[in-house]
Amino acid sequence: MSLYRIRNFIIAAVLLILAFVLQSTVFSRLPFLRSAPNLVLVMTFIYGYAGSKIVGMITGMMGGLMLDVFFCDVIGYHALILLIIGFISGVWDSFFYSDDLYVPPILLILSDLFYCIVYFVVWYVLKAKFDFGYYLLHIMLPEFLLTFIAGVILYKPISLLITRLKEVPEQ
Amino acid sequence: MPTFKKNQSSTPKINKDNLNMAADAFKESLVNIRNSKTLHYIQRQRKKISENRSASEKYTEFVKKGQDKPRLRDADAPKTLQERGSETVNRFVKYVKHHRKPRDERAVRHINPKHLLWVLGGICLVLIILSGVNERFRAPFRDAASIVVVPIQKGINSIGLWLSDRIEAGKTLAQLEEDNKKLKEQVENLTMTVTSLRQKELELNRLQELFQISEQYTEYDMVAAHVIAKDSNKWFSTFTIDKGTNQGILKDMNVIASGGLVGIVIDAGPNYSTVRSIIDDESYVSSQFEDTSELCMLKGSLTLMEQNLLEFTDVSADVMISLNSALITSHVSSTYLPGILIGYVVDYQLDANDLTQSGHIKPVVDFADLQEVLIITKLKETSD
Repeated sequence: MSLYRIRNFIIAAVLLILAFVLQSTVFSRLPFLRSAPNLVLVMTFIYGYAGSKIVGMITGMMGGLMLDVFFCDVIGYHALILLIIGFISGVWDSFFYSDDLYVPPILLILSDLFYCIVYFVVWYVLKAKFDFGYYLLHIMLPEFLLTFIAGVILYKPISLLITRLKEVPEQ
Repeated sequence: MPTFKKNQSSTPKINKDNLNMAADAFKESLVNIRNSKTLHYIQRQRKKISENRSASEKYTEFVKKGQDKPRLRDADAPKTLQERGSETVNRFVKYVKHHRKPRDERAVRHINPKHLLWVLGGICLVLIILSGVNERFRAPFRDAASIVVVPIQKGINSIGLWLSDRIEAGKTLAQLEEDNKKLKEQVENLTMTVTSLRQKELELNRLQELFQISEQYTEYDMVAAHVIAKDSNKWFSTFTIDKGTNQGILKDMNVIASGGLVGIVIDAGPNYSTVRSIIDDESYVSSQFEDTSELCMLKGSLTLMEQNLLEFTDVSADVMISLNSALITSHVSSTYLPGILIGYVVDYQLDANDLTQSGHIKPVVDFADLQEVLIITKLKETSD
């Protein structure tokens, strides 16, 4: 473990915690928002897509564990979903150029869709609640919109930061 | 292209021509390698072996080896202890540098992401099962969260509170005077109510003594707490408060605000706890009508959350329900303390089976804007 790797790890951890705290304190408190942007998902996606599969998976798992500890009575549930999303966004990296500005938001929305549908199936369909139209309109769509906006704003600076940090300084 | 023929019948002899030929073949084959990473690697390895010497030089060295080895120790042996020490250190550093793998060949890069996915996924599944089976497995995560995340949450939350205080402070003097006038009137009214209530309480005490009723509804001890975080995706309605086991809060304690039931503590860390509100989809509260004492089941629902309503079910068909009658927690509930107000009946109807009735209540608490809550630090005592 060299110094530059530790530095990158600390920066990623700080960004992730900041995203989680903003998501859970500030954005969920704003009265005019119907929902809050899923910033932990955005971070996972960007780290997987602009970084690598491994980085995306670790970011997703850590963020998911935070969500689990605070808001879920089962630990490991969000972590598993976000782990898979981190991996998939790393896979997408090999299909598209990571400096393309139009593709990432679309992939982000697909990730969010995956997240919501897994959520819906595990917590609602298994309890025989099938009101998918209502959930789509009232819960998924506002979240998609806000996550999309957050992704568009955050993608460029954070992916730039990641690529800059990835460069190994020549000795 | 010169070819290097390997003599397969006997062991090949190393001589000058043989070595030169091998070196030429090697150099030519390098040209054909397209992959820059491989090329780089081969060149580095070669450099390491030959140290930039040609094959003939290498050969002569190979022949002469052992004949005139320079004896460094005799020629310039270090004299002082310090010099000898520094030379040892230098030699060690050189050795380490020489044997260290270059950065891009180290093991970290060679982890297969798929293997990592399976391993981490397995860890997640194990965690899901373990935390579902036993509460104890949450403890390390709770501690980590209370050290790392909760202080930041509290900080950001206090910034938000400070901001809202500034906004409050921006009220004009006229508004404040008006508020003051209103509050004074309220105080007068309340004092009158208090005195009359005190008299009634005395009377109640006397009657209780008279009828020897054990005091069921003792006053509960309460702890106030701030809401510091909310679940951002609206699937659940759980939130985090800034008091935990250090302040005496335990799992299953009831949470109230503005005179009504808010929810129940589902998890308590050292300096924070998680509360599930009664409007959550997972929430079930056993409750009763205050006027008729008939029992019913109160369910939270995601679809009703937006309208700030709750659904009650399982009231037998022969019970008379009146609109606006209060619903309180029942004495049969295993976790909720009895007699806490929940809300008022808005509508009701007979179910399709003609045996039960169901309907909706409006809770007294405004769940959209919860800032401070009170936790009753008394657990319901159940027989088991």
